[in-house]
Amino acid sequence: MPSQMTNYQCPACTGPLHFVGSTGKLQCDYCGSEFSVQEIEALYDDKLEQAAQASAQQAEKEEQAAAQQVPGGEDPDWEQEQAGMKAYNCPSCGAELICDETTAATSCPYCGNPTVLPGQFHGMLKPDYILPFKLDKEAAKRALRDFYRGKRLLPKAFSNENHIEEIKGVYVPFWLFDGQGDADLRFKATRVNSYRTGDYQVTITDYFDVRRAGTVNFSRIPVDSSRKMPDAHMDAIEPFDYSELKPFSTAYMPGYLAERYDVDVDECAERAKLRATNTTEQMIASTAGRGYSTCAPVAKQVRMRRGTVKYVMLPVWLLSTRWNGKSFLFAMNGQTGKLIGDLPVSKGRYWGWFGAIAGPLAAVLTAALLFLF
Amino acid sequence: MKRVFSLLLILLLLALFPAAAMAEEPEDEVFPYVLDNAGLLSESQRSTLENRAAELSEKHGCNLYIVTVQDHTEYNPDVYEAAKGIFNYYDLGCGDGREGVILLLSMQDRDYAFAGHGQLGETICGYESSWIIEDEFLDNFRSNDWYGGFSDYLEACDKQLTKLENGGDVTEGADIITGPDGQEYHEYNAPGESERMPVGLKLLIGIGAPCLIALIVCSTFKAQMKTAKLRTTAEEYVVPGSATLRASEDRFVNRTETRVPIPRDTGSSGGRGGSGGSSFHSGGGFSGRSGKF
Repeated sequence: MPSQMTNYQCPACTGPLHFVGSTGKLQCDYCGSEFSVQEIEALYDDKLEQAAQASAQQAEKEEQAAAQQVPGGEDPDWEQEQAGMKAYNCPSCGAELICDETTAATSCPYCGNPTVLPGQFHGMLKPDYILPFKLDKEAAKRALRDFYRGKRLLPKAFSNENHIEEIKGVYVPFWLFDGQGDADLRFKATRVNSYRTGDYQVTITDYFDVRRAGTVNFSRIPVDSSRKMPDAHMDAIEPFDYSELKPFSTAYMPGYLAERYDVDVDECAERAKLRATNTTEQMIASTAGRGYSTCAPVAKQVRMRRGTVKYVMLPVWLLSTRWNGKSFLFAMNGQTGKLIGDLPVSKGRYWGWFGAIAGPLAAVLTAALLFLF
Repeated sequence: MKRVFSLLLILLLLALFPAAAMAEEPEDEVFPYVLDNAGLLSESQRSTLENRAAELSEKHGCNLYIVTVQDHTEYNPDVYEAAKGIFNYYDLGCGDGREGVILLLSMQDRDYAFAGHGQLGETICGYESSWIIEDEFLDNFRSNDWYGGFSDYLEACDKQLTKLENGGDVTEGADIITGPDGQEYHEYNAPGESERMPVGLKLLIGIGAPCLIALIVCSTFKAQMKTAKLRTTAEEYVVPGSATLRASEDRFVNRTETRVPIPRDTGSSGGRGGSGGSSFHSGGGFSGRSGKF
C-alpha cells in the first residue's frame, strides 16, 4: 500500500531534499546537489498522486470504521485525545508520526527527514498559489536580535538570558479576497467667513448638505485561515509581495512546516470585509471635506461585493521564547523579513524613565512658577 | 503736515467759537484751556472747567489744558506725541519756560496722554507724580464720567503744584510697589494676591504637567513593545486608480450671520502701569504719561 506521506529524496544519492529560499531550489542535505522545483515536480508527480489517493482511501476507511463503532466502546478520554489527530508512517524510516489533522508538511522526529502530506492539498483543498520562503532561519534569528535593539523598556535579562526555544518556518494558509466597496455617505458641512467691520466681528456661516458616493476596488486582501495562527501576528507582518507568487507545488515545502486551512472562506470574509469597508469609507469621505471649514458625517451606507477568492500558502517564520514562565511568540514575514511580536515591559525601567523625564522637568517648572508668577 | 494740522485746529476753533472767530482777528485768538473737539462735555461743563483751569493756571503759573479729539492719529500716530505736538504748535504754556500741562483724550481707541512742560509741568508729570494724577482721573474716564475725570485732573494738578510750591514731595503717596513679576506697579494697579496663582495650583501644574509629559513618553515606549496588532484597514490592497465617485453633491442649505462687538482694548499688558500706560521723559522738555482708559 502506498504511503500517504512523501519524502523528497535526492535523485543522485537518495538523501533528503529541502527547499532553499535564497536560491529557489531544492538542495540535498547529504551531497549538496541542487534541483529546480520543476525537475523535482516532474520526478514526483506519480508519487504525489499515489500518496493523495492513499490518503483519500484512508479517510474513507476511517469514516466506515467510525460508522461501525459501538458507542461507548472506547475510553472517552482517549477518544478526545484522538480527535483532531492523524497517524502516518514515515516513508523513510517507518516510524509512526502523530500529526494534527491540518498538518500538511512536517519532518520526522526520528530520522529528521522532511515529509509532505499531499493528501492535504488534494482536489478542492489544493491552494492556488504559494509564496516561497526567501529568508532562512539565520535571517530570522538576526531579525529577532535586531528587534530587541532600541526597546527602552525591555528587561535587560530578557535579551541576555532568554533563548529561542523553537524556530520554525511555516507555510500559513491564507485566503486572498478581491472585492469592491461601495459607499454612499452624507455630511453636514459649513463654510465660515469672518471679517471685521467697524467695531464688530462679523461671521458668516454657510451650511451645506454634502453627498459623496463611489466605489473602490480591492485586490488580494489576505486573511489567515489557520486557527493555530494568531490573527494579530499574521496581520502585523503584512504586506507580502504578491508578484512573487508561484503556482502551488509541494516541492517548495520540504524543510518547512505547513498547515492546510481550517477556517473557511465565509468566516474569513468577515475580516476582509471589515477592513475593506473601513478603507472604502475613509477614501470616499476624504473627498467630502475639501473647501469646507467643518464636515461631519450624518449618514452612511457601505456595501461590499466579494470578488474572486484565492487560496495561497504564505511563508512565515515563527519564533517562540520563554522568560519568567511566560511564552513570547514572534512572527517574521518569510519574504520581506518584517518581524513583530509582543515584548515584556520592565516595570523598573518604566518608572526609571518616568522619573528621569518628570523629575528634572518638575524641578525647573515648579521653581519657575514659584519665583516668577 | 503743519498746514493741515493748523487748518484742522482752526476749523475746530471756528466750530466751537464762531462768534469769537467772527469778531476777532486770528492773531488775537487765545487757545482755550478746555478744547472739547470730541464733544464729551456740555457747554456748561466746558465753561466750568475752562474757568477752573484758568483759575488754577493763574494761581500756579502753570497752564492746565484739556483737549479731546476723536482720533489722535490725525495729528500723530502716537497719542503722547500728539499731545506734545499740540502743546508745541500752539506755543502753549505760560511764562518764559512755557509752564503747562496738557491732557489729551482720543476717543477712537480710548487713548489718553498728559504731558508737562517747563519746570513745574515736568515735575508734576514726572514718573511718580504722574501716577498720582493718573489715579485721580482714570477711574472716571473708564466709566465715561468725562466731567468728573477732567475735574479730578485739574484738582490733582492743583494738589501737586501746591505741594511743589510749599516745598513738599510730589512723589509722596505714589505708592509704587514692585510686583511679583519684578515689574513696578502703582499700588492701585498692582496685581493683588487674589490675582496671583495660588501656591497649590503652582505645585499642581509644576508637578502634574511634567508627569503628564513623562506618561506620554513612557506610553510611546510601551507601545513599541506591542507590535502584534489586528489591522482594520486595507489601503495597501486598493487597486491603483480604482476609486471613483459616482455622486458628488454639495447643496447649499442656508446662511447665518453673527455680529459680535469687539471689546475695547483696556489692556493691562506691557509697560508699567495698570492701563498699559507708559511714562516718558523726553529730551524735548516734556514729562508725562500715556495709555488707554
